[in-house]
Amino acid sequence: MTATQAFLATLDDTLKTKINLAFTDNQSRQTWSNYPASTVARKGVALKDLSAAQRAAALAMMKVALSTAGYQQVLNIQKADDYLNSLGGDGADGFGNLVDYYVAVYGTPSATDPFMLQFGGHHLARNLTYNGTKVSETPQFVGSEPTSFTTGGQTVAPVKDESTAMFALFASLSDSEKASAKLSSGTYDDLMMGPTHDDGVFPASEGLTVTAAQKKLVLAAITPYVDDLADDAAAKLLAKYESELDSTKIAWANNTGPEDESSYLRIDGPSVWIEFINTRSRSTPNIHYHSVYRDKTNDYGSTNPS
Amino acid sequence: MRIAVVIACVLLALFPGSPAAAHPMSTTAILLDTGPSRVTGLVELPIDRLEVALDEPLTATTVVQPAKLAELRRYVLAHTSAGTWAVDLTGGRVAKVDNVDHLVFDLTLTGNTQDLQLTYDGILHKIVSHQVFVAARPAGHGDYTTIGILDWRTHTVTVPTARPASTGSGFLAAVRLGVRHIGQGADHLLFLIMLLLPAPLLARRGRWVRGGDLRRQGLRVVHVVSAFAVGHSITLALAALGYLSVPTRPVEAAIALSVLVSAVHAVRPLVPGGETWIAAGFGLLHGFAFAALINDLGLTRGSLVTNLLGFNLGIELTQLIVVALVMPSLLVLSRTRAYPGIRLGLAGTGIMLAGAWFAERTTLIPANPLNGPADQLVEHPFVIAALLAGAAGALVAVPRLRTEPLPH
Repeated sequence: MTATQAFLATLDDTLKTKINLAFTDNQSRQTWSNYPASTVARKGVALKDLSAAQRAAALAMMKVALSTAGYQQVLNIQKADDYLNSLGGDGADGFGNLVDYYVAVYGTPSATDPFMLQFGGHHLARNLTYNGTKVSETPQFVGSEPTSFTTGGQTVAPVKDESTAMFALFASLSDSEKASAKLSSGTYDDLMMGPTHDDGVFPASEGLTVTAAQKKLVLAAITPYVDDLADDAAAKLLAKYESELDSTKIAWANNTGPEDESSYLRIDGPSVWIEFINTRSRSTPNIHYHSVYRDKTNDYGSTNPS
Repeated sequence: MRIAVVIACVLLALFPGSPAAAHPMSTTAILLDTGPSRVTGLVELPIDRLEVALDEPLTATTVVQPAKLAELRRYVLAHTSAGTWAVDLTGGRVAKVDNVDHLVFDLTLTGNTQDLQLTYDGILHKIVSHQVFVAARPAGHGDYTTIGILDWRTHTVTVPTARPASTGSGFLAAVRLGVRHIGQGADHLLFLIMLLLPAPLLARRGRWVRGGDLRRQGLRVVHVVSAFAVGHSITLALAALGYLSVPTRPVEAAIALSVLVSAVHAVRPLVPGGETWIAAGFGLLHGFAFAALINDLGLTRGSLVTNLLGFNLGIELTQLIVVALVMPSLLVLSRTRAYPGIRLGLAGTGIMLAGAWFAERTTLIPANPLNGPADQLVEHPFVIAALLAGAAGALVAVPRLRTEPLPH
């Protein structure tokens, strides 16, 4: 809250009108996408239109709101989008940490009344909704093209924690478990619950109900998504998902290998919804990751977001 | 764009007027030109997704082999329905959309009910995460508006077919449509005004000079307006009755060109007495554009002629109103020394607007920066007429600006 107030305090009136929007503006709150900003216009202001000090305050706000891992992931995905941009090619010129990363604040930061932070770019969407002591970090979109790359002598793999745990979960299945977890409804080339699927309607549950032996791995797969949030709030969410594991299903389609074409993995509980796909690339030779984490009862901090 | 599918209704909410032609990669697009009893359009299917949905290798070359094309047409047809409306699918060609090969079919829906529900699940029935953008525009005019996105949740979209309720129906509706169309068609009006600019003048050795009495000037106005009316009536009738068919895009570009020609003619006479011929010749072109709109009225055989007459009458009435609003001021202004400047200024504006339209319609430029100002002009016709009249009154009131009477 304090960090958000600090960020807002750095803005002049013109910027503030654009960045600080009404909490009741649900349509804007739900405007995030992995399409270029030229295709889907974002709310708020692009980072390039902020001064260095304002940008630093915006990032400081995200740093406070997120865990160390969650904040590092923001920086890594920004790097990945910059890297992608440096490769050029179809449409890649629209991406990059300044060009298509936008920030917006909905409502007045308050300890009692709801407010929301919206921050994201091509392969990242952070929607953090605060209402008193309750926090929602969904919908959350993370992705990376390529899945791993080297920049400045460092290897960066922004979605590594999530992908490793997800693939480990499905690698652990026996043949018969794998057969019952296989989705029968068709094939997938991207997420079902990506941007704009914000009306709270989810696909009918399909797949294999989590067995006692898998609980640990399922929880381990959910954790990197939930743990992006600053600690105390994340622990509460994890406890909720853990208590629901008995009625949580896992499912897959196409393939289950980390490098395979169109591997599609899903965790589907009474509250938690995680989809992960190896989607096709156009600027890089291999598949790349798209993943969305939603909470069926708490996206945008509401059971009835639209 | 490395992303696969995803996205959707934000487009609906944010870009009610965005051209859906630039639909995100690897999605299907259905682009519809709507009318009350007949809806035509395109179905654009990404070939790489078609491969996955049909589970067979397909390329831009193989999909258009006659036997394969017929099979694919049957496939798309089997996944398309529209209630009581008849569905017809023809053609089949490969086109690049966002640099990705798409198979494009021509879709025709015909029916008599107001209610058109289009149900479509091509590719969708197999690729759960696929998305189908459905966009429409009334009678082939203006930009497409996204009317729905079909995905795993919904395979049906309501297609607007009715005209706005205020229009009513029958002859009067046709008149109103005619009035509105030319009233909003900045290009048609500008063409006419450019031709009227030199009406008070005479062409002498490739230049415009003052000359002619009021009777003669009036006669030339009548000639220009009649020639334009005759020209566009001929093609409007022929095209609306189905004897002639011309693609919209080249016609729109040629209309921009016609404005350019008439504006240049207002600067320097291209042919002596040329405005009458320009009006008649290019009037033929404008008629095709009017005909594209007639479809909007929902014609049955019995009402076609009535509608055609009504529509044309609406166009002529509006033209006469424009002439009545503009011409007296021009005639007065032509009796001041300021007229050469005013004429050149207006003609220059016309050249700029026409050039921008031409560039836009031949897709030399993606967006026309002058559309805003042009629309403003068209939306405030009486303000412009009043300004012109005011200028005429003010200038003629200054004695030294008045021109000497011409020797007879």
